[in-house]
Amino acid sequence: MTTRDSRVPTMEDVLEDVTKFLTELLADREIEPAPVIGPDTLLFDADGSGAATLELDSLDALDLISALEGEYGIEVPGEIVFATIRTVEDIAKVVVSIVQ
Amino acid sequence: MSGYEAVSDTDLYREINSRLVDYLDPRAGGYALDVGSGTGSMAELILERDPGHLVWASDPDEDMLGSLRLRLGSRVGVLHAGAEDVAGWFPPGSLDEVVIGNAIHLVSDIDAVLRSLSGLLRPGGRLALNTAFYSGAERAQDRPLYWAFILRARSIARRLGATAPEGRTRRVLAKRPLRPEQYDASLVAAGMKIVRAQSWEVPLSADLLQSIVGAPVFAAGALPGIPTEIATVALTEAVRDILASEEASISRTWYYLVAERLDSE
Repeated sequence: MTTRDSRVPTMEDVLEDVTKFLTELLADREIEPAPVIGPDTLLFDADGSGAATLELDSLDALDLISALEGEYGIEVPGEIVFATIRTVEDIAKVVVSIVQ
Repeated sequence: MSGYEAVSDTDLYREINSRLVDYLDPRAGGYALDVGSGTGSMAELILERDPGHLVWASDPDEDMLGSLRLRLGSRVGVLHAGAEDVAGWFPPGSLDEVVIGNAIHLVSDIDAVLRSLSGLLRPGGRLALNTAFYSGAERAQDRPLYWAFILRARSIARRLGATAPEGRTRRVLAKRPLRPEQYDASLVAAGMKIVRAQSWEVPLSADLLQSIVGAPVFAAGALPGIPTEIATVALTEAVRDILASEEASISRTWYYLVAERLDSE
């Protein structure tokens, strides 16, 4: 991590961190089988399609966004979340757009 | 005052609670325990339905019980006890009804609590509960709105000087929202027979929504670690912003469950 501190994080860096934080967040959920977290993984089912998601609720959002804000020293506006965030990659894109 | 009166006094919340009492169908002249009674809305509805009913109301929050005493006086017995402890006050098999209105999601060990409370019921006695905090209570299309609302409230809380705690939020609600069938299974494991399991999607009126988010008990669950007095202001401002800017509406599905104690062998 120290090598990253001296440069602006890339999309890959942020995706790695989002995945790490989500894995920690879901570790005590006893979800079987354990979810595979990738860029296209849905955070929640926003359109009632029934697609597999991580089923994150608003407290999960607090944890995840707070962790990323702490990692990168940023603040994520709630308006952006409502408009754009659905997948793991969407969260990473928001973080990248703020830090870069 | 507990701050919950603004919620419990709304017409919609009264309707939500009235359904639970209807489904409970209290026996005339019976003996009921209202667990997590809050300000006494459920106890009051039972007494309206059957003035001869004996009702005990229990809650761990002294402010809520203070409001309950003002509301109901000596019409109910009052116990300062949480769901985990209240069973110890009653002999096994002594009650006709146990009701848990909008509170089961605040319990950490639901299996243990439902087991202890079912033991208080006579054979054929009923336990009724409802909750709007379980897996599936939110509409899919409302989820982004909930996320935006909570994050907006957190930003406002920061502006008001609150410092969010480091690390994971300590959930005030049950560790993980249960699925409805998990509540069913918990009651069955406690020796109960499910007699009604029903869902009701409720469009949340603006006044109820603003009342809910302004209640300290909600604020503690929605923004853990933020001082309650700041959290209530932040949440109220955030819901006003969201409802005003997005012309949004939120619905939530209440789950109602009624079970009967099986005859002892």
